[in-house]
Amino acid sequence: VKVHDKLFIGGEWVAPASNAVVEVISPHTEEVIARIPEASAADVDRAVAVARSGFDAGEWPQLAPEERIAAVERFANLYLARLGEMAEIITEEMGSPISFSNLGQAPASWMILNFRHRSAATRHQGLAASSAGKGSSTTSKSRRSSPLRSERGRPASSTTSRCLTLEAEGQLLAFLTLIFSHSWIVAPGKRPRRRCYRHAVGSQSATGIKEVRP
Amino acid sequence: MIVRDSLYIDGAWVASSGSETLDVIDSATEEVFATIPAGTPVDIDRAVEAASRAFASWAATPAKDRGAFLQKMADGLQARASEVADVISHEVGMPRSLTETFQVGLPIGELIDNAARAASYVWQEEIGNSLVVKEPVGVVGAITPWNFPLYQVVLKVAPALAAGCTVVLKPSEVAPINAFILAEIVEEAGLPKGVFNMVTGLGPVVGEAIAAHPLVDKVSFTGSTRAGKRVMEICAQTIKRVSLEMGGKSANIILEDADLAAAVPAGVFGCYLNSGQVCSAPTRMLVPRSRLAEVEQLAAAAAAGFVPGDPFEATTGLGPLVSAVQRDKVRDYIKTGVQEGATLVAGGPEAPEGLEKGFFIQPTVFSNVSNDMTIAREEIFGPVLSIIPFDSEEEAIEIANDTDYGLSGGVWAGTQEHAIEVAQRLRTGQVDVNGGSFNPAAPFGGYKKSGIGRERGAFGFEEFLEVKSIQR
Repeated sequence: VKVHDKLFIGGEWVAPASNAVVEVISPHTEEVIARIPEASAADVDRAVAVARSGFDAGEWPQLAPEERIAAVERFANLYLARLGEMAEIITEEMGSPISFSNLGQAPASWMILNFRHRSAATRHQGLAASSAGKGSSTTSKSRRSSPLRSERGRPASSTTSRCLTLEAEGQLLAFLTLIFSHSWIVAPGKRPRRRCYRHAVGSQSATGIKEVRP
Repeated sequence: MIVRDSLYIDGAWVASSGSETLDVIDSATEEVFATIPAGTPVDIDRAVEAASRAFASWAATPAKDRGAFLQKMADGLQARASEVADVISHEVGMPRSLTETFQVGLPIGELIDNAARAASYVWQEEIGNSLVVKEPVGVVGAITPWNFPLYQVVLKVAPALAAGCTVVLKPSEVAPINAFILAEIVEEAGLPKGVFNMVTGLGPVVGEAIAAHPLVDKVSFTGSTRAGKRVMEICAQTIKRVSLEMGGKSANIILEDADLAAAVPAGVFGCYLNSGQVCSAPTRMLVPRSRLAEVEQLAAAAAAGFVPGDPFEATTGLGPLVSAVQRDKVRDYIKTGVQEGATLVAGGPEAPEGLEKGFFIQPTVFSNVSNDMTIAREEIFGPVLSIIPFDSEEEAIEIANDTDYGLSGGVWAGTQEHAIEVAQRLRTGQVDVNGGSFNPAAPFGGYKKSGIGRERGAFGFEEFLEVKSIQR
């Protein structure tokens, strides 16, 4: 039984306000597989308060888009490293066949993380380009920066060029979706070749992905 | 006196299921100027069912043909512009010299704009292997206020019809006669029956019946935050889409390096337009403490230019408020301002001299207002300006954002760049910098308790669309 006894609030693992717990039941064994805190209104109050001040007075909304993109990218990479673990947990918790958890449930989130930060990068580049075209004078200014000023004030990052284009991204997504549905329908019982798949997405190579095709 | 004894349902003028009527009062004379039916939930049922029956074929009508109907409505309204302007000046009390432009011109523009948009809108796009199509949201309930009665009606009805929705309108019972004329124009334009329906009556009766009706897909509401909350609460029961455009307490920041002689009178004009009965009115004027005396003088001088009087008199700068209820509420706010220690620079709670009849209020300016006073926190909806001093630009931005509302605002600074920088830090849906002019195509709507969604232009149109993804 896994025991999680902390909540993640304000960037830290903190003790909940009460000792109440929720049991997580495996849908296939009916056993208790984990215990988690049953958060109370007081916990939510704390979490909302830090989110509120994080938005109103914190750094995050003021960050240059490249910095936010870089953070999401770090998030995506850390997530990717634990893809297999995530798939197993999801299967344990809600019973999705492991083949689908490996190919669908777990990597879908990774794809969203990637897709989002890349489209942000693309939009940002568009903004920077249009602002450069107007000869914006806001670049030279001050310390306290508004969200838009940051966008205009910084040069376009090379993030976009490093990334797949949006179109290629779309194709990749479509391709992966095909694979998911295919493997799920055709071979629900089969153990997927997870190692190979991980290699494939890790290298973001279309040829690598092809290897997982059943 | 105007007597309107029927409702427009399913392409015909029909009697209400009830027999009650409501009086419409002329705000300058306090006399009954018209009577209208007090509609019932049964009337709403009939109207919604008609709209629901008409939906499929209206949605399937080519968009450019729907646009052509809107163009006919624009032409019909243009032909009756003077009559409608007269009616609205009686109902609302806006000086007749301004009514035709603000109260009739804007609706005509909105109809023409939506006629063009229906014809040119790109209804689908491709995203990867998906065809993403935009479709009309369905039957729309439109609930509108009295302050810009026809414009608020058209801001909902025009984009809804252009998008392919059918409509049940409940206009304000305080200023409803203009909506009866609009319904006649709809009839003359030959819209298919059931596409546009109008039921007059009271908010808690017919407004709530619209919000509760299971065949209504979306409610677009403009009015008070209190009533909007109620609408949203009722709509939650059937998961209706809602757009809400509600109150405001907008800040007009005048910075140290701004041109005071231009900024202050413009700010006073913004605050007093339509006797202050404007949700986006810049009612909090934030000024550098060091310039307070100068600002007070300029504001008092500007206020003196707003001579209250008969709205049909060409020299009148400030008409009456719309109703006795509204006048009494505003008077109470002025008294509260004095009690809470604000400095009365101009005006006051008493009726303007010689204007004891009619719902008149003196153009009023308070100074030394602190942002925690009632007059700085609550929407007054009258010609009452609160001047609030600040000591730094940072403090000005904090004060501007320290409000439950977020509908509008202004910034005046020495340069456009500086003004825009400050505008970007305001949590509000619209900001006019250095007197930037009104743009009817720009999205309008609120942050925070000022509302959900946007009206006007392309954004306003898309409020009436659903999005469907088709994977191939």
